[in-house]
Amino acid sequence: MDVQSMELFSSLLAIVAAGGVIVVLTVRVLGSRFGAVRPVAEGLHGAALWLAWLVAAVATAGSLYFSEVADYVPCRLCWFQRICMYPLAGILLVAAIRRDRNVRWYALPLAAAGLGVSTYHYVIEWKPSLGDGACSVGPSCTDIWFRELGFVTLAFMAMAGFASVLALLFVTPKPESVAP
Amino acid sequence: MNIEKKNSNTVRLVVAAVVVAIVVAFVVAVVMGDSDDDASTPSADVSTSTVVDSDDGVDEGSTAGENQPVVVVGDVLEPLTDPAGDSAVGRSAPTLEGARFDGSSFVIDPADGTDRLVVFLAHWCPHCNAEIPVLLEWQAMGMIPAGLEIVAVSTAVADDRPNFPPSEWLIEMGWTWDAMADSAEMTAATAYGVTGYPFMVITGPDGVVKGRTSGEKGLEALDAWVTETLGR
Repeated sequence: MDVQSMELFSSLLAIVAAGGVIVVLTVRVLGSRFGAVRPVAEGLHGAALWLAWLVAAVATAGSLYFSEVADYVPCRLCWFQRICMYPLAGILLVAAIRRDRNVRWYALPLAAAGLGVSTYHYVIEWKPSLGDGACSVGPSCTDIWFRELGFVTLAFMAMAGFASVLALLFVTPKPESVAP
Repeated sequence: MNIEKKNSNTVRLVVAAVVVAIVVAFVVAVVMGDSDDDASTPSADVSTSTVVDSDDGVDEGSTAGENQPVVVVGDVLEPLTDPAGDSAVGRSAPTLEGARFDGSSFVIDPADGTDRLVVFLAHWCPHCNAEIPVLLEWQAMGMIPAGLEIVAVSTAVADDRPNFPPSEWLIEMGWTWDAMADSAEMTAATAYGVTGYPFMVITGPDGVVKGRTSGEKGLEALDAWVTETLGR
């Protein structure tokens, strides 16, 4: 698979992750009223830790591919997002194996900080004037390596990844909270 | 037991749905990636110029290119790290012996008796793209101080980034002043201590650095900075 195909593949995965956030939120909102969503809630609840780990692991692997294989040099904000995402891949794997849902409290600072940084990064990609006003001599955070489907960039992918981890860890409803 | 089995089934269904989504994304990416092969951006030869010994300033035989060799005469300036206490202010700026995009010789001699504003630009930088219209408006409104010469140095050229080639980019942006093409190694930018784009340096008629600034500026901020700096 060449780099362009990988860009499209990872962009589609990001869209799936973002869609997953919407699904989780919908199940959470509708769950207390409609029993029909109970199976989905049960499935999400049971798989949440593994899915959260999958998101973090794929995001980690993807970012390493783009920097080490595609030679896209990470900017300062990219490094902050990596600092937040890479540890999540490790601790969520342990949590999934141990079925420890309390991991969400340890994951929260990393995922929340990562979501904040990635959101800011995505915003300044569209509005560079909101950034620090200059392009850096090294890799610039307002520089866009690619923008698939008109809106998916590396920052968007990170944003979707952090949001889906948070949704899976915090928003996924417990089956007993869903209408029978 | 039945409830546990049911829960296990629903978990498997969710996982299966995720796996299917991943596989579909992979297939779509591979199929569309193959069909887009012809549309991929060809990698352009960034520099087509031959290496010219510019010690004697001879430009005959130079070929056009987005990067041109640059020879620095004089001491290089330290990178701008502290705008409030710029160590380069008061020091002599180096002479840049280079060429334009068309290969013709172009020398930026700070000590030629002219106040000069040197603007370092990167074609892909959104802030540079925003700054050029500001400079043009500054010109259109007749606000440029009398005797101030403005020149651009195109640097950090990258054929895989937006607005390449810079030679066409400057024309499209309506750049009205002269422009030097920096080397692929960013010799000129390094010599002037460039730390960001756009980067502006004002030198006096004696070649002494009067001020440096990095980043995008609005019209009022630009005019204020130039006026204050020239007054030093």
